[in-house]
Amino acid sequence: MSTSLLEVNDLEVTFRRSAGPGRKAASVPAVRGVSFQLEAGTTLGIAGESGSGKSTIARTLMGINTPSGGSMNLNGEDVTGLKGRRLAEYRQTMQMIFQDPYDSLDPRMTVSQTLLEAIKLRKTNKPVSPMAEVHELLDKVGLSRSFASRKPRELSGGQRQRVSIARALSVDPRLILCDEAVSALDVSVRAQVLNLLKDLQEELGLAYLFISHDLSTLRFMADYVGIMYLGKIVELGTRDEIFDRPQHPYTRALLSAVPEPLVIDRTVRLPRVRLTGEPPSSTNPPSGCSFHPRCPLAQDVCRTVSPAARPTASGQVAACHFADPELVVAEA
Amino acid sequence: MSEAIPAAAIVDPAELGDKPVRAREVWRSLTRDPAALISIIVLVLLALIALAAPLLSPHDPLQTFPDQGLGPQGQPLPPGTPGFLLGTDALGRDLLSRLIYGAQVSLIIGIVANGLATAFGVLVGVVAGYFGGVVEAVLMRITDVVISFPILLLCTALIAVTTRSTFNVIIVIALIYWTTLARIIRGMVVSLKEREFVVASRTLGLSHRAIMWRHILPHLVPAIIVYTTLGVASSILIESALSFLGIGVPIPQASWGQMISDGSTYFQIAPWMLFIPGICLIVTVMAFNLVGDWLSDMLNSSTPTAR
Repeated sequence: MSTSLLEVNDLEVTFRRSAGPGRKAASVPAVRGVSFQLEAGTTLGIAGESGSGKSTIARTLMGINTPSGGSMNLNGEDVTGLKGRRLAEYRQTMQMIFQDPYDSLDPRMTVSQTLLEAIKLRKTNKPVSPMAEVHELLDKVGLSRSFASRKPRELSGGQRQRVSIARALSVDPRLILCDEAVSALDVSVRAQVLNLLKDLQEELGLAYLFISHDLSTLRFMADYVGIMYLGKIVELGTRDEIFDRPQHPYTRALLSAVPEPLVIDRTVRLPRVRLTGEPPSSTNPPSGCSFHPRCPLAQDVCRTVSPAARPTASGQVAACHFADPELVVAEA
Repeated sequence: MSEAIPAAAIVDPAELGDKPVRAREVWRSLTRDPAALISIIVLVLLALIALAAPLLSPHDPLQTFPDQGLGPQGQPLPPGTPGFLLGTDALGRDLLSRLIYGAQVSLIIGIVANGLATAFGVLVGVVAGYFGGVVEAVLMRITDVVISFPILLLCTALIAVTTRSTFNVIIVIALIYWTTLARIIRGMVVSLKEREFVVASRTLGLSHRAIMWRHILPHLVPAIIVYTTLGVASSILIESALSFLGIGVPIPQASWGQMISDGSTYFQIAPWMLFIPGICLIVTVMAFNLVGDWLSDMLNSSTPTAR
């Protein structure tokens, strides 16, 4: 068996909407066959447009949404479709930091109440002195102990996000899912929180699944990057592979959209790819390659055959009929 | 150090916020709303009068005074008669004493019946909203069925199959009045349970019961307070209506609705028999409504969770 902390195989999540007045029943395939592995102590970044299924992956891993297909393995154990106590136990190996720091803490609870509640829920390694642990957690996330008695409304966005991180850490997780965890923060505060997350990773050996639409954040945080389009990972590789030698035309389009100074020095300047049009409806994804209606390279084959993810010469895996190094060089 | 924070503090859903700030806010908002202030004073007085009924009432409310209590032709005595401050009724009973004991009945029925209805409505609303699916469908269809009946008709039917007693009146009112609150609460819970802090406590492994108790119920408290206050007024009114129709609290017990009913018979010769309990009823119901409105304004403007 593999030694990966987390292994996701062919994960599928479909939302069903029942028929109602003035609308038909529909099924929305939000995640369509996603596979990836995550090693302990590393960070996998996932990027993509809104509606590409990034958050659904995180919510499914946490057991908030139910997968309609595929499997999830944590520490080599199949955790797909767990229920009740087993689910509660497994969830603690994994925690989540949410997007909106103004909504992720109960406004009626003080910081210490929030943290104590979480600490007392820990299944393993039962707390001896909960209040001392609250202080320890606050130290860990760089908040002074005086914050313990404060209510969320007295805290700034960055401070709230630190409390959220402390809450996630309180159950000793091995993996933290960060769903747009810094997107709502000011740029300066964002950098501080990202640095904190990096320090915690080094100190505790945490793995992160870092979901963001912001590529510069991912470039800073991630060891591996997956690019999602319409419920599929279209390209997956190490950070440098994705950022320096992107193979999939969608990845190149995303990178072209990042303001140049932030994407740092490129040895090979890639051709700019401009995306036009809206992302297609996920209720009714296009035939063949989902990206073909917007793809500058689209050929007849793209309209009929869905490209399988395959390794490319530069190392990463890409799902594109034309992803091979020669093409990129020819264009460059 | 701050070890002093008691563990019990976590589970205390009554802790609404910083108490000292609250008390001052409440007072400031009351001074801006004199109608509410007067209403609160009226209700407090009424409650005290009802509690001290045996001490305050000059006579036994059930005792008839065939000689001193009735005029030469056997007619009720008007207010101001010596010994009978508010006059007497057609049987020569002291109106003031009956009014005081009637306040007791009205308040007990209003508060107890409505309290039961609130507890039940909140329970149904929270469970339906939180669990959704089949549970929600079943509970809300039952609610719809109860709502769809005309209230007075349903009360009449329910009382017809039981014996006439104060207890039964309370139960019947409670069985009917939980529905509105259940609907309101369900709607609030449906949106609350998607809030990130609720999802976060789920992912931490908090049990459903604990989530509902600690993270959902406390956020409903302002709404519950407001609707309960308004509900007391309607419960008092429905009790009066039932007593007026002769199916409320049993005769000869005094209740305002009963007194209004008696008074309507003798309206031409003794209008005070109708007006005095009628005015009491109107003032009480209005006071509850005004306080409810004020609470709703205050809690909605100062609650930090209202987003």
